[in-house]
Formats: sequence, structure tokens, C-alpha cells
Amino acid sequence: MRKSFHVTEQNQQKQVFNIFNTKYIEFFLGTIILIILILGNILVYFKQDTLMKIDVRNQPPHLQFLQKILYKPPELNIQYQEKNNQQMSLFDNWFNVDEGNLFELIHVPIGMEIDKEKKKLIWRPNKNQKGKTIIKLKIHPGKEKKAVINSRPHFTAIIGDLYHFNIKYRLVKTNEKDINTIIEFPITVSEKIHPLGTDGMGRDVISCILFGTKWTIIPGLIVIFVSISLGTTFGGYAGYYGGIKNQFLSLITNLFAIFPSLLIIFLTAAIFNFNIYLIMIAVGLITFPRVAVGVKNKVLSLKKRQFIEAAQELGLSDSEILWKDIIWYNSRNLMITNITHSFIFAILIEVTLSYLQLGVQGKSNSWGNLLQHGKDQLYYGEYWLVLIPVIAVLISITGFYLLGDGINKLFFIKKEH
Amino acid sequence: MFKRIIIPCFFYVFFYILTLNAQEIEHPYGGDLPYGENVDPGALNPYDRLKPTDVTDHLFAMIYERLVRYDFYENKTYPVLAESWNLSPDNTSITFILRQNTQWHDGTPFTSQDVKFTYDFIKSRRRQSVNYYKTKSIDFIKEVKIIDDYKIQFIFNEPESEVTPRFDFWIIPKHRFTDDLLNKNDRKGNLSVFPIGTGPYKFHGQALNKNIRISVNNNYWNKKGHIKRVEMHHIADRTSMINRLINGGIKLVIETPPKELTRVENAGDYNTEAYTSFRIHAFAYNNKNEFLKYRKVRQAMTYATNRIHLLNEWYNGKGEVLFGPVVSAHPYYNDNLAPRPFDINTAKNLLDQAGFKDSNNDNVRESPDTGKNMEFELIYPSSTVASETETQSVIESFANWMKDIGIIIIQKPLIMDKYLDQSFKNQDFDIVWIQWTFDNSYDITSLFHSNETEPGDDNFINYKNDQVDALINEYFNSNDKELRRACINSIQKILNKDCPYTFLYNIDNYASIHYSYQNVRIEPYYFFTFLPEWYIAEEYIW
Amino acid sequence: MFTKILKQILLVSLLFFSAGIIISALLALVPDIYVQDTILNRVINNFNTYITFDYNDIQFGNFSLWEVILSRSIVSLYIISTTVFLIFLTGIPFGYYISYKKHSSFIQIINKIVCALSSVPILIWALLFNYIFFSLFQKSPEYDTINNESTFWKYVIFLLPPFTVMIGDGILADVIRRMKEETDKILNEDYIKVLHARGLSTNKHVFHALLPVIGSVFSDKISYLIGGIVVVEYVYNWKGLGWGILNAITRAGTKNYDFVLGASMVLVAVILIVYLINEIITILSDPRLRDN
Repeated sequence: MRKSFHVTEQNQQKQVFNIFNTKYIEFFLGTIILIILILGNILVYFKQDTLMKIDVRNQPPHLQFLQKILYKPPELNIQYQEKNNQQMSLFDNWFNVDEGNLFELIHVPIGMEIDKEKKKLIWRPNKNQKGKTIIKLKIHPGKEKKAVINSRPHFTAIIGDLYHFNIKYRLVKTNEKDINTIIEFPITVSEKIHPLGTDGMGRDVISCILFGTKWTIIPGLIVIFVSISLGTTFGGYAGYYGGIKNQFLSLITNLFAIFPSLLIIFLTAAIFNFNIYLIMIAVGLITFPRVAVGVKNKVLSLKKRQFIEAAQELGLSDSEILWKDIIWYNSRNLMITNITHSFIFAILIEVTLSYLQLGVQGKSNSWGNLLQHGKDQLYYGEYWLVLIPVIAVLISITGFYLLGDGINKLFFIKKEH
Repeated sequence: MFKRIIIPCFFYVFFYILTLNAQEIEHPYGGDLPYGENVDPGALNPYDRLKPTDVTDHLFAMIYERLVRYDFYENKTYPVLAESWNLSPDNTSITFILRQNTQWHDGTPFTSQDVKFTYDFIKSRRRQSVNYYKTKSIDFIKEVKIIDDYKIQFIFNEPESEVTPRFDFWIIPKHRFTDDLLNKNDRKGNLSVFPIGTGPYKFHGQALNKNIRISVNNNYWNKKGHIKRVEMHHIADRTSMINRLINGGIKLVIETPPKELTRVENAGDYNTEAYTSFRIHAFAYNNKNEFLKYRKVRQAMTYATNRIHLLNEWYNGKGEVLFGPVVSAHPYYNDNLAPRPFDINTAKNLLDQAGFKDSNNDNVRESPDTGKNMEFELIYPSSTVASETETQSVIESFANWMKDIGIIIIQKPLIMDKYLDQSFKNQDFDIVWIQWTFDNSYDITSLFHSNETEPGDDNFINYKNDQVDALINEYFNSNDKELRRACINSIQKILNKDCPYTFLYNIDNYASIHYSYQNVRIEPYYFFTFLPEWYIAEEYIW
Repeated sequence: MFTKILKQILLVSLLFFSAGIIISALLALVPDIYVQDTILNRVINNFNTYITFDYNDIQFGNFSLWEVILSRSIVSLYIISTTVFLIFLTGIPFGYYISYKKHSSFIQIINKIVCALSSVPILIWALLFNYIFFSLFQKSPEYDTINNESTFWKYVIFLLPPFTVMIGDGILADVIRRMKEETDKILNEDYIKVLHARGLSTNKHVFHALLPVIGSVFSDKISYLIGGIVVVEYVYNWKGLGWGILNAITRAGTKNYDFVLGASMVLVAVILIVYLINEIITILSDPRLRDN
């Protein structure tokens, strides 16, 4: 008996100090993401949409970690397989007179040299070589050997740094159609390091993302203000008072619930000349029926409880009972979920509108604008303008979900006996 | 039983072999040409209320015909519907002898009544359309007289020579505008909906997804077209248009965007043919603005834009920098002039000479009289076509350079309607980014004449220069080619000095066409004028 | 019972007309240079066309506005119905199954994965599929290119837009969550526990209790589905109602207000029909609600 008692105490102590319990982690993650968004907003407010410095256009990300997943820099692997499955290094056969030079430099930037001892290409770019250059190599595979190029990596280089390009030549199985004797791979040179690359106008993607956080918080606040104020009044009075008032108020909520959402948003975008803040008022009108229905159900379920009867007999007025007892004290988890869902909905609407060129216009970029500019570059193999705004959107959405769930679980869920 | 099967088979085979011989003509007939456009064509009557664009002109080049055709490169007029013409000795009138035995697509014969009806129709539509550039081209005609079923005389207001290039307006049929058809409210009778012309191809129908189908006219007076069917696909997004080109859904794109050229060329199946475009990009300055009415300010702003850099950055260098509204392929291009180089120091000196200095050290120049900052509002149309981002980038670079010399530019993108309204109708702007598209006649005079400053006219910047007016009048009144060339050359010289616009560049147009199409000859603005000569190589017809 | 249903029908028609008033008012507020009427006149004209179906025939070339609206609405209704069908096939049984097998952690993991994937916006799924189709299969999944493909790709291209609408914008996650909660509530009821204890099958009763839930789920989600359909039509170039509305409002030149009215009429009718079906199902399934 005593042992079991002792064990439970230890367990309780462990639980208190275990931060990785799921009750806490969601809340912490959510708050971290929210803080990042708010810091981004503050940054934008103080810099006030001044232009970011323009550098080389369409530069790929400089993060070695990203490049290692997708490409294999700084090696250029030309894969190529022989009959006996032997691997060969290019430079072994470089100066083989019988077979001829296996590989030949066609177009190479000024200053690129071959280091024969270390078997590499070496290059230190100048200031004048800023921008994009393409390196072309030609392969002479010989009679029975065939070569294929698997990937087309796009390297980045910074002015003044020294780069080594190892060239290995391995043999793979090929078809006749896949012979490609000229290899091209592009290199973009810039003055500064852009860890996540640059967009079509030469602006750093990280700063573009930070400037885009401007459109995440304030539109969401407008939506919350409109939807929750209308939703709680309509739902509360409809649930509490029943009868004709219920029917009338539910009629109005149904009226706003039956509108196809994007139709109203397009019309408001055309009317208000693409002002996002005014469009979000219409978004609030679209989302308030959901809130109203939830509040109404909650009020109906709580109305039959004894504490309401007691309050009524004590002489408290209806509005006090409704607002304090029912809504403020007992339906906070509902409100939290509505708040987070409104933020998420606002972000989604803003991104789709900017993508369709009906939202944020002009210089001040939002994530949807980046997507619009970047979807063309996908067909050239330049993925970063699409991937990174998508990741930002997903992180902010999951952040809000986790925040809502975390707050509910920590503070507002009661243990049911 | 076998007799019933074998003998008919023998006959079928025999006749099939006979027909094989009949198919061996010089170039085989048949095939499709699907092509893509970004913009909705709209009404198919050339003189309807809405403004015609180059998209509709591509269609009209297949369906309708003109009296004469003016060739831009050779500077010659060729007869189309008019076999020959006679200019009267005192240059006051011209008589056309029209082609006989030509028919409209529904079989009625073409007569001079149609030509007169077209002239009356254009005149009645004057001042009703938003930009009636084409309708103004008949202002020089005073009266039209029908002499015969196939002879018609035009009398001018003033003696003119070099007048035949101006008769390149589309001829529309009179019999489609009878009271019967208009009262019945028959949709098919309406020319904007179902166009009927005399051209080598006839309108077949428009589908619900806005594709237009055109098929060959078998009763054409000239050589019949080889390609049987043409279809215009309306694709709103430029990248998806190029994707469809590469996948084979469409076989021709009339204007490939410059950044997609490498992708098309790497695909391997397509030829990219360059042809001159008559479209110039420019920044237009409002001459009524208190700062911009000074010539030195405009010159300074021209010095401070690096146009070569913009061309190389956004258009891969495929174009030429301009110093005037005239393109280098134009016969009257002034070879002695050159565009101003990019020089910020001279720009700053010019502004200092004009008297605009920065007195309170906030990096913005002010006027000495009123103390107002040099701030201009730049309006431009926000792109209605998806994936068109070059204008915004060009304008941002322009704003950056202006900031370096102490001028602030406020960028204001507008919807197309508002943009046209504010710039042309109300003339309420400081700077406008504008694209002028000239047609084959390349008439630049309406942009700079002081009579054309009313709301809706082309000289919306209120540019007034007596010398230019005199030169324009001389240009229109003279017979001599050399004199006309001298007039246009001096106009270019004056415009280069005055800089009413900052002329940016003219971008080369590239058409991407599948390599199975042979003998492809392109006319710069109308594009499909020589479509009957195109044919598909034999192995690709199916 | 029938009086209640009639009441609902009257209510629905009232909502239909009031929706028409609001839409015609909003359309009249759109600033347009080519229209020179006062706002009140425009509202009245729009509402007239909405009620009397008197559409001007000239604006679409060879076709009357009715034909255009029909053809565009076929496309949109096809997408809507297949998404509803797919959600019915996948989301609802899955939600029921999750609460049935609460103790299996494997299914809970799958639940979390599905909910995470479905909270990705529809736009992003659409871009992803577009890119995959072009780069891997060298095909563009657009409506106009269907005739050139083999039957397998035809099926794939036809099913792609409904699939993207189904798995985006958190719709599946919401459906699964609601089904799970409701089946939890139902499985905790006494009469179900008695039947389980007895060893009898509970499917009939659970299904009967879940019918109103399914109806309410669809009537909640239908307006968000229609929002997603517009995005999908834009990206894949399927010319349906949503695309038509976008084109009519944002193009240069005269705007096509009649088309917007007709298209919104169709969409509002779809939503109201679903709402009506939901109400009828609730009335029929719960005998306590049949009479007042």
C-alpha cells in the first residue's frame, strides 16, 4: 500500500516538470509562431515598406543544407556506367591518347581553371561576373560507353570566395535516346549571401516573407471583431429567448450562411478597389453564422442547468446571466476555437486573393503575390519561390491550430466527473 | 457469297488508287492550325463600340479584306479588292476599279455599294468609341461617289498625294445591315456575332469556351488556302499557354513572352520567328504639370533611366532602345540621332540649371517659388493577364533612379478602365506608363499635333509645338517622298530635344510555330495576311 | 409534418429572394465607367433580371445567356457533386471508424496525418498537381486538352479538380472531426450500450441517428466547397461558374452583370437545396420534431 502511494507521488512530480507532455508543447509552439508573426509585423511597421535592396534576380538558395537534399553540390556528378560495373574517375582517362579527351570545356567563366593534381575545377569570381553564367562541358563517351545527365544543379557563388567543383564520372545504364553530350549547369554569382534565394525582382526571399507577415495579424483581428461580436449577440439572444426572436435571428444568420463565400469576396474586392481591410469585413460577415450556431447550441444546452435557474431566482437580469454566466465563464473554449479559425480563414482568403491578383497590389508583397510570381519559375526548375511561401503559410496555419488547442487543453477544459 | 464480297472490294480498291493520284498536288491540302491568344476577342465587327485590338485584327486579316494592302517593308501598296486606281491630276480625287466576280462568304456578290456603306458606317460611328483611331483615318475624305457597280470615286477635302495607304480599312457587307435583319433581332445576322467578309477564310462559329473556329473559303478569288481549319484558343494565363504549346495542344503562339523563349527553344519541335512589332513603351509626362512643363526636367529624367539595363534585365536584350516614336525598321527612321545615355550626373546638373534644388536637405528637390516637393504620381494598368510582371519591375527601377536624383515617384496601379479614363478622358495624371501600338500605316502625327488635345484624343499630354505642327501639315500636303522623309526626320529631332515622353524601347516579337508548318510568311501587324501560302508538310497531315 | 416542410420551403424561397436583393445591391455598387445609371436604378434592374429571368441575349455572341450559364453550371455542378460524393465515400466512414476503434493508435496516427494534409490550402494542392502533371507526365491537366488523351488520363484529368477540392482547406478534417464527435455521443447513449451488451448489431440505429448529422455537415460545408471550386477552376482553366464570375467582374471593358446574377442564382439554389434536404432529413428522422 505504501509503495503504491509513493509511486503515485513520484509520478505526479514527474508530470509537473515534464515540459514535453502534450498539454504544454502545443501551447508553446503556438505562442512561438505567434510571436514570430508579431515581430514581423513590428519590423514592417518601423521599416514602412521601404524597398529591400535589389541584388541578382532568381538566385537559388545558398543554404548548403537545402542544396544537399535536392542537389549534390559542389560535386557535379555525371553518371555513366560501363559493362563490368566499374567506377571510373574522369581524370584517369583525361589524357588517354587512345580514346581521346573524354571531356572538354566549351564555355567557362573567366578565371576558371583546372587543377590537374587535385582533379578539380577551381574558380574565384570577380565583381564583374555578377549574375548568371552557364558552364558548358562536352563529353566524348567513346564507342561503347554512353552517358546520361541525371540532375541539372544550379549553384550559387559569392564574389571573392573560392570554389572547387569535383567532377566524377560514373557509368550508368542508358538508352540510345538519352545521349546528351553537352552538359550545361548554371551558376549565379552575387555579392551577398541569400540563404533562401531571391525572387524575380532581386529581393531576398526571407525579407519578402517577413514583409508578408503584415497581412496575417491585422486582417484576422478585423475578422474576429466582426464575426464574434455579431455571432455572440445573434446566437446568444436566439438561444436564450427562443420563440419569435429565435426564428427571426436564425433567419438572418441563415441568410448570411447561404452565400457562396468567394462570390461576395470578389464583389467586395471590386467595390472597394482591392483594399484588404475592407474586404475582411465582408469575410467577417461570412464567418459569423458559424459562430452564432455554436453559441446558440451552447446556450441551449446550458439553459436547462440549475445554476441558471438559481441566478434567475436571485433576480439577475437576463443580459447579465447571458453575458457573464453563460458566455464569459462557460464558453471560452468555443471562443478560442472561433478566434483561431477566423485567423486561419483570413490568411487563406488573403493568400488566394493575392494569387488571383485581386488582393494586395503593387509593391507591398504578400505570400500570395510571391506564389503568383513563382509559379512560372517552377517549369525552369526554380522551386524556391513556391516552396518557401507555402511553408510559411503552413507554419502559420498549424501555429494557430496548435495555439487554440493548447489554450483549450491547458485552461479551459474541465474534468468531467 | 464470295462474289458478293470480292468484286465490290476490287472496285473499292480501284477507286481508292485513283483518288491517290488526285492528291498529289504541289502542296497538299489539309490540316489544322490551333493557336492561342491571351485576350478575349470581343466583338467581331471592326467598327463596333469597343476598341479593336491587335487580337481582333489577327482574326480580321483572315476574314475581311481591304481595298489595298500597304507593305511596310517595301513601302508599296498592293491591290486587294481594288484592281487598280487612278489619282486625278489635281490630286483631289481617286477612282478605284474594283475586282469583279468576288463574293461574300454567303454568296452575294461584292459591289461598290459595300464600299460606300462601309464609309458611311465608319463616319456614323465617329466619336462613339473609346479610342477611335481607325475611324479618324477617313477624315480626309469629303465625299464618295458611285460611278458603276465596280467603280467608285473618293473626293478629298484638300489635295493629297500618298493617299493610297490610307485605304486599308476593312470592307463590311451592306446586305447584313438591312432593316429586316436588324428588326428580327436575329443573332446570326448581327455582324459583331457572325462576321462575313470576302477573305480567304470564313467564320465558322464561336464555341462556349470562347474558341473561334475558322474554315477555309472555297470560293476565294485568289489562291485557296492550304490549311483547312484554324482555331483560336482563348487562354488567360501566359505560362499555361506555353505549356500547352509544348505539349502539343496548340501549334502557334503569336507573341511569346520573352522569358519563355528558352523553354520553347529547348523543347525542340518549334521554330521561333522574329518579326518587328510596332509597339513602343514609354513614360508620358503631362505638360500641364508645374515641374514637367520644363524641358530640362524631362531631359534629366530621360538621362536618369538606364534603358539598356531594363532591356537586358527583363526582356533578355531582345529589342532596341528608342529616342523617338519611330522604330528602326521604319523607312523614315532618322539614322543621325541616338538615344541619350545613362548619366546621372548630367541629370543632376540639368535639374540644378532648371532651378530645382534641395534646400532643406531631405534629398528631395523643391521648386523655388512655391516650395513644393518634386513628387509625381505614376499611374499604370495592373496586369489583367496572369504572369505579366515586367511593367511593375520596370517602374520600380525607374522610381529608384528618380530617387537618386531627388525626385519622388508614387506608384499607383489602376484597373484598365480607370487607367484609360484617368489618362485619356480626364487627363488627370502626372506621369503615365504607356504602350502605343501602331498599325501598318504607322501614323505618329496624331500623338503630337496641337489639335488633338481634346479628351479622348491621342495627344493627351497636351504637347504643343508650332514647329511640329507646321512640319505635320507639310508632311500631309506634300507629294515628294524626300520632303516627307525630311519632315519626319526633323520631327524626330525636335522630339528628341523636347522629350515629351521618355521613350523606352521596342521589344521584338517572336512567334513560336511548330516545325511542320512550311512557307511561313508573317506580316508584322496583321500576322495572317499570308496565311493562304502556309502549308503543312505531308507527313503531318492526318 | 407536412406543414413544417412547407414552412421550410417558404423560408427557403424567402432566403432566395433576399439573397437576390443583396447580390443585386452589391453589383450595383461596383464602380463602372460604362454604365451611367443611378445606383437605385441599377439595383432595381438587377433584381428584375434576377426574378423574371429576363436575360439580355446580345452579350455572348452566338449564344444566349441561358446556354452559357447552362454549360458553365454543368461544369461547376459536376465538380460539386463529385466532391460531395468523394467526401461521402471517404470522410464520413473514416470518421465513424475512428470513434469505433478509439484504442488503436495506428488509426489515430492516420487521422492526424489526414487532418494535417487536409489543412493545406486548395491553391497549394492545385499548383502542386499542375506541376507534377507537367514535369512527370508531360501533360497539362486542362479541360481543353482532354480530347487528345487516352481514356486512363481522361479519367485522371476529370477526377483531379474534385480531388483537390476535397483534400484542401480543412474540409475533410472538419468532416472527420464532427463525425467522430457525434458518433462518440451516440455510442455513449444508453440504448446503444444495451444493444452492445446484448450482442446485437447497432448499425441500423447508429445510421439512423447519424443521418441528420450528415445533412448538417454538408449544409455547413457547401459554401466553403463552392469557394474552393473557384480556385480550382482558375488554376486548371475549367470554365465553370466561378471562373465565369471572375472573368465577368475583372475584365476590361463592359462587365457582364447578368451573367453574375445568373451564376449566383444557380449557386445559391444549390446551397439552398442542400439546406432544404438537411431540414427535411432532420424532420423525418426525429419524431419529436415532426409536430409542433
